[in-house]
Amino acid sequence: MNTYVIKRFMLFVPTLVLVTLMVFALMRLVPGDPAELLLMGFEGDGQFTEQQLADLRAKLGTDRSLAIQYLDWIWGMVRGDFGVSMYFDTPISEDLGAKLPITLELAALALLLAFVVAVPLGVVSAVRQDTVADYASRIIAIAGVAMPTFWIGILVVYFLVTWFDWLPPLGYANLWEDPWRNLQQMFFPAVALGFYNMALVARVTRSSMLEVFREDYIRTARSKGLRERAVIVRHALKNAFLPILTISGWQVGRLIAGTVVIETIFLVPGMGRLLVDSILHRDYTMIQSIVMVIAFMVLALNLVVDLLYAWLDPRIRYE
Amino acid sequence: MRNRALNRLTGRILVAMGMIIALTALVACGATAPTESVAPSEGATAPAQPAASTSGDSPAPTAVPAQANEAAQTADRGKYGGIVPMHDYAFPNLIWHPHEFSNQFKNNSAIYNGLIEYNAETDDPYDIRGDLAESWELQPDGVTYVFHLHENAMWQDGTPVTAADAVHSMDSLVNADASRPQTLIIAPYYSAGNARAIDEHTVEIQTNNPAPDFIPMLAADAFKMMSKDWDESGVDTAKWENGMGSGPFVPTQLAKDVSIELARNENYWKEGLPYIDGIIHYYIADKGTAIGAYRTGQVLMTTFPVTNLSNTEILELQEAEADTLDVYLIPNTSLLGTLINTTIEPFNDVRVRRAMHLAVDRSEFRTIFGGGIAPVGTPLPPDTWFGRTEEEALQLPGFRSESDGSKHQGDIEEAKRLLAEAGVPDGFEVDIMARTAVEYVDLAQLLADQFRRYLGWEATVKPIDSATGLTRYKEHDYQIGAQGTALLLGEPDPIIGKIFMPGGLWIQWSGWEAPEQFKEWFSAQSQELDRTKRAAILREMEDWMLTVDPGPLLVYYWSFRDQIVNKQIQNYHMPVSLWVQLKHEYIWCDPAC
Repeated sequence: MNTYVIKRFMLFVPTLVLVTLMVFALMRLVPGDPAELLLMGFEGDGQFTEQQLADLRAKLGTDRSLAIQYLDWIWGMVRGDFGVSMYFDTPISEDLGAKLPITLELAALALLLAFVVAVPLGVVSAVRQDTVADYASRIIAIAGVAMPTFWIGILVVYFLVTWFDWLPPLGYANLWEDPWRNLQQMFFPAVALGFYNMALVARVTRSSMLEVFREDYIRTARSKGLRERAVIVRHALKNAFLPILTISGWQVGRLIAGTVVIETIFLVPGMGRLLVDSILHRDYTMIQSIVMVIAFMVLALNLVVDLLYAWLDPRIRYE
Repeated sequence: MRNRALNRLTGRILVAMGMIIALTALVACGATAPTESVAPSEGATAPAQPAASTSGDSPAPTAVPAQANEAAQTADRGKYGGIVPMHDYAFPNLIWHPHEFSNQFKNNSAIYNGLIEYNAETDDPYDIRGDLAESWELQPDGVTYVFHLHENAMWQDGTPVTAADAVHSMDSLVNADASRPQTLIIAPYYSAGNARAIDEHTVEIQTNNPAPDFIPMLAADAFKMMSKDWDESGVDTAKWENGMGSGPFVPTQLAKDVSIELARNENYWKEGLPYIDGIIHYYIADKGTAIGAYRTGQVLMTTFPVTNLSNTEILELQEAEADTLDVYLIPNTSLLGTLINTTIEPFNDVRVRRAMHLAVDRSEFRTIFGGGIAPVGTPLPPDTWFGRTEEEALQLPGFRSESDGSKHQGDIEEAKRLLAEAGVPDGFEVDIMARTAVEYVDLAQLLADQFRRYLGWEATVKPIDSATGLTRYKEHDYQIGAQGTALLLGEPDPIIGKIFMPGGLWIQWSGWEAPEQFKEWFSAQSQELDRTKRAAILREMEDWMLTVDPGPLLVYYWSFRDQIVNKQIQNYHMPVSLWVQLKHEYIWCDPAC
């Protein structure tokens, strides 16, 4: 197992190098000079001289060759130094340190809510196949898969304002300092963010459960006189869980990407919103750093999911 | 037995889901609904309507009276206390030096005072009065202004405001060596070294030429005074926490991308002010969320009159929330139109630009995007002291309609004739660049449709992200683009200077070159102190643009900028521009906020 984990970690390196090349090159291919945008301002109204532009480019380091810029960035990251935001002129590690936990909290809450709703929904749908409960569950699931996350977010805001005359409190309250306010701020973004996952997991749970119900060991369990609850929870659900875990593993990456939109709609000051703003400002250093963090997280989570397989199913062994 | 177990399981799952729904409702209803305290206050006045005509209302620089600051007299009127949450659509960059521009002065204006200010306590949006200056006079030479400072004015560190500070600030405002010297917009009027301290509390400022727009410009919030000692002390004045002015509020918390907070300056030199204890600017970029925040009372007013909502959307919001919200529509400081790249064919041909000017159906733009009330897009804003009346404008080619409201056929015929004359009778393919900001993409769609309908052009909308669009404008890498602009003030110099004169942003982007005659007209009007004569020159300029060359810009309409104010906020008066009356020292909450 240890060898396997080390091998997987080693594979991180070429993947991350590829990501650095892609994000670095793509940002330079897209038109927009960070120095110019800083001087022009958001609406492009700023006036400046060519000398001021040259000075700012020198300060930001964008006047150097691309190879030097790239190597400088990589060398910084190797030393754990993400550099300074081109737009805000503040250390990137400070921003990431402040915003990453917020995004992780949002993603975790979304995943939790998705599971809390999806698994029971999928189970009911399977055990009550072709009944009203099943149809209702399937309608919810299909709607969740069909509707894009940003649309759900807009709908949630709309219904909160229209029905409850309420919006989550503005600003941001830290989870450990003011958990109730934090919950108010994070709950609905998590609902909107997790809705798609909930739908997908519900569908997979249903189909997986239906498959398991046809297995001999379920029939055996029932014929032994086990209580139905025990059959469903202990025998069926546990065995149906592997596909659910697989789907959830790669959904985590999607979930983190989804925070980009949801954080903007619900004013959650996380990494997703920072990424959107940084792209608008062509804050190269910030974009590169955020993308690298996301890439690392997705790789790490995939590894964790793979390891969980072995834990859930003793037949799986990693060499 | 199996069925019973299943029923039990299903029941438990339903209970669990019910609990989640209940939790949802609990979270949603758990907080005190702010709207409960947002009952319309008695006697709340309707928002001021846009000034129909400003002729004669603006301060005439030839006869500037000594004006006393009325702050002390009004200080006992309002109710004290409360924090006012405000909506800001864009978080600024983090450079907080008051003389370096990003658009940060919307957030830090309340930390500073200007020499003079637009009077925030009157319904006359053009009324200018002293701020740090108790009074001022224009000397007979027409270029020397003498400002008398309040003797009790003091910086937030307790030191007195002196004439030396004013001199330092004026020079700092035009410091070309600053990293972002956007306040160079005052450079046409003032050059470094032309201010001097006559005594401790008297400062003399000389303008480069007679300049009727100098005082209206100086009163804007872009031109604040700062302490000479503080600026030269080595403190990093670009940091938020180091903002130190003489204004009614001091900087407190700044949470990047979330909020910016200011607290009452307890030692403010204007006795009894400000009324409120603090301000929180919340950054809300998403339109729907912003509307929700206004409707639920989570924000009580706009930071400055830009909400990101179109005129139509803002009118719909006002109608829906008429009991709780006032919407102030500020005319003449913003426009929406098409920018034309005049460096490429066929747009370098004035006949093609004139044809475009004639073929655009401005009435349709105004109806769909301007809420049916936005002023028509003449080169100079209508119904101002220097523009035509709207009634007059609507009779002109390019602006008129048929009796049934449709596009005037004569204008289309003439446009086609001009295109034939220019050698493009059968139309051509044109890409309309539209930055994905505000309503540019929607505007471009309508323009493309009109060009197809009226001229037979193959017009295609090319949406593009904002930063890329700005770069392409700068590099002349576009044909035409849907674009708008906000102007510092709705006065002739800022309008014409930005759009039609060398050095103006739109000239740089369009590559258009104004003829010498036009530049001479601009210079002459800019220095003409007699308003009637000045208006006559401006009329000549506009006639030239309407009949000879419309220039690089096809204005659809003069867009209102909008300020949303909850009726809980008292003593708010509509400003003349986006960039004035941002100190908020005279507003208060009733009921308490």
